[in-house]
Amino acid sequence: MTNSNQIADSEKTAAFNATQMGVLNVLLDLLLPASPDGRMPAARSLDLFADLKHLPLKDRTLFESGLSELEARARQDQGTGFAQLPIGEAQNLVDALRLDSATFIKTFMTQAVGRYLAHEVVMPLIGLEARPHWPTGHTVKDGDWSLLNVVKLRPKIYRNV
Amino acid sequence: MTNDPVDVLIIGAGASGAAFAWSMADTRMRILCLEQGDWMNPAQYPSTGLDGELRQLSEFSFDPNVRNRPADYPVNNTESPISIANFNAVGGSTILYAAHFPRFHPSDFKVMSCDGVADDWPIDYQTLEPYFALNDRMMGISGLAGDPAYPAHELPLPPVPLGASGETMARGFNKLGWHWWPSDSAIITRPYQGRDRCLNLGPCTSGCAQGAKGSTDISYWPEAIRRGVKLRSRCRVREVTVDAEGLANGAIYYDADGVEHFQPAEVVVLACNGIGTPRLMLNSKSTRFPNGLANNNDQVGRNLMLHPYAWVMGTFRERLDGQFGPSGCCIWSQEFYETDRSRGFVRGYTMEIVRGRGPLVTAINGLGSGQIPWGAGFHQAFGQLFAHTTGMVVICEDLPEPHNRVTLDEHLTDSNGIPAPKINYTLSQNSLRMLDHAVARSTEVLTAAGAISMQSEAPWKAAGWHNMGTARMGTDPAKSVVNEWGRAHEVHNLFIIDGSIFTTSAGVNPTSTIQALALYIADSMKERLANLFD
Repeated sequence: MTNSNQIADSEKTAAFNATQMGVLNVLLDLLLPASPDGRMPAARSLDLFADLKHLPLKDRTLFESGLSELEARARQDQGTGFAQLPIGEAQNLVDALRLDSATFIKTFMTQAVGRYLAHEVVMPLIGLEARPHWPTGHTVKDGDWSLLNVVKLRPKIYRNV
Repeated sequence: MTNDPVDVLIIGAGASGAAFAWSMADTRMRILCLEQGDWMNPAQYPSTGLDGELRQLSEFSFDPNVRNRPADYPVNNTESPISIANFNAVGGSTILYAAHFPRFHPSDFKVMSCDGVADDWPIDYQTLEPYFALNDRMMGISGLAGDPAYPAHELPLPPVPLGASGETMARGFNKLGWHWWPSDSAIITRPYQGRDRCLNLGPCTSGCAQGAKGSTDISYWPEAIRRGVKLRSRCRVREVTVDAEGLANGAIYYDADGVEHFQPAEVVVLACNGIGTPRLMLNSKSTRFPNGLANNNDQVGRNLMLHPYAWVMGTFRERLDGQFGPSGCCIWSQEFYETDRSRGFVRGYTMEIVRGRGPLVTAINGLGSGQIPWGAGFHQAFGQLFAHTTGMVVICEDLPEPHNRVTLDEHLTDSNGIPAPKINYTLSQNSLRMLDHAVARSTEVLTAAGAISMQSEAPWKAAGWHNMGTARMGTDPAKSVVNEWGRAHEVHNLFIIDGSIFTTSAGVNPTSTIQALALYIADSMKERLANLFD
């Protein structure tokens, strides 16, 4: 039996090249630096994009063009690579790209935040066990069903026809 | 390539096709179902991995244009404020649905008689009542008898847990004196018919790895196949064909390798949902039906109803548990369901508490709304939202309007070159007023429950799950496509059994009523086998 939910496996690809990774790491620093108290790690330190599994091909293409565009704009405007820019200048270029290429920035945010919050180091820090939902599942309290007593006293509210 | 003929050809293996096939197996006729999607493997559903939320937003997205699997067809939504949602597989959209399982109410079948708008169905609640009950047993429905918003009915299983989110919202409803009740849910809360209970895996809307959710690949299909029904997956039907007399005589489809087949059949049954069914009919042009199958009255594709949704979430100081549990099913309120003209609109809506969101969706919503910033402030802002939100979706009844319709796109096609559907849809003034009312009342109950801030989206663009009315049921052949037992007025051996045939949409999730209708149509056909085409 072939299953179309194996689609992700066919889309595994190698990581981005060194220049692209340099741009990506600065983007990660802008979006997800370490927390001021040091409790939450910086996204850059977790190697989130070492494996591009589950990055759909169209998103990978979007990433590559978006990262290249940032590098090209840095070289054109500042005469240096994006990764060498002061953080404020880098942020300005990202803000400009956000207007011109909202889809790339939105996709970057989804992928970066998704990989960060599902990382086994981060999950316990946000109150979750570092494991998939299945097979263990979770306990949800049944709750106080006496709250329903007052509703049970109501007459019917549907219409006869 | 021409295949061996069958007696009954069902197109579509989702909610309705599965129930119908199981019922028709009684006849011992040669029954074949063609499904363009594949069997799913629950061991590969997103909840089995740490990256589940990311996968839910891509390959398990309910938007076929985002998901873009081989089994999917594109949908042109550019002329609609609501995007179509679906899933193509054995089990159809029940693979991804939230499993909310309310029935229609008695007044939902008599909208013209009750409120002077739209039309009455040619059948009523009593007609479907035994089929609702049968379907509840087959799908494994949990809930609690005694809801004052419904005629009395028993459910086979006890309700899903309230959890902290449900308790919080229940207190809000009680403070206002508003109705609420545990939701009827297609979720197994105790071991049932060989299936194990719900483990509160989180979002049910990316498939249930536990098998506790009643998707038809694990409820109806195994039993239907055991009883002799044949099911062929990865078979995409291009058109239903007709003979010189104007009767359906089979279908042309492509298999997984793109090879074209002709499948002869005595009876053809369409079960492709409110978008796929009119798409197939409009693609089935012939000399006899130049505007599409059974469409000489120009009704196929019209009267599309989509259920305008409002999404309203509140943030609470206390930590809740909404990231777990069956996310789509908790409690509902039908305080504003039946018509009260003083509200400024006719008909009404259901509020459904949807617990909370996982970490990624919480963060993305927060980043999009400005509640969460980029940079060092991300962590604190995220911490104030994650596991601190609960709220609701509100399902508004949509009234049928002929200009809301499915047509064929002139340029867009699927991977087999078959023209894709185009949606032309606008919200009526009645729907807009109802949405405004719904957001205001939702904000009121969230405040009563203790929310410290609220966010809403209405209409909720992504929420085109419920596709109805595009081949509607009626007694007047000039204004409807099928009769009161699902037979096409213009083609007497063509039957339609999915949400296309809804005359009106009610203000609840439609799956329970879709399946009850499919079971009722199957019984109607079995009772008339001797003169089915007269």
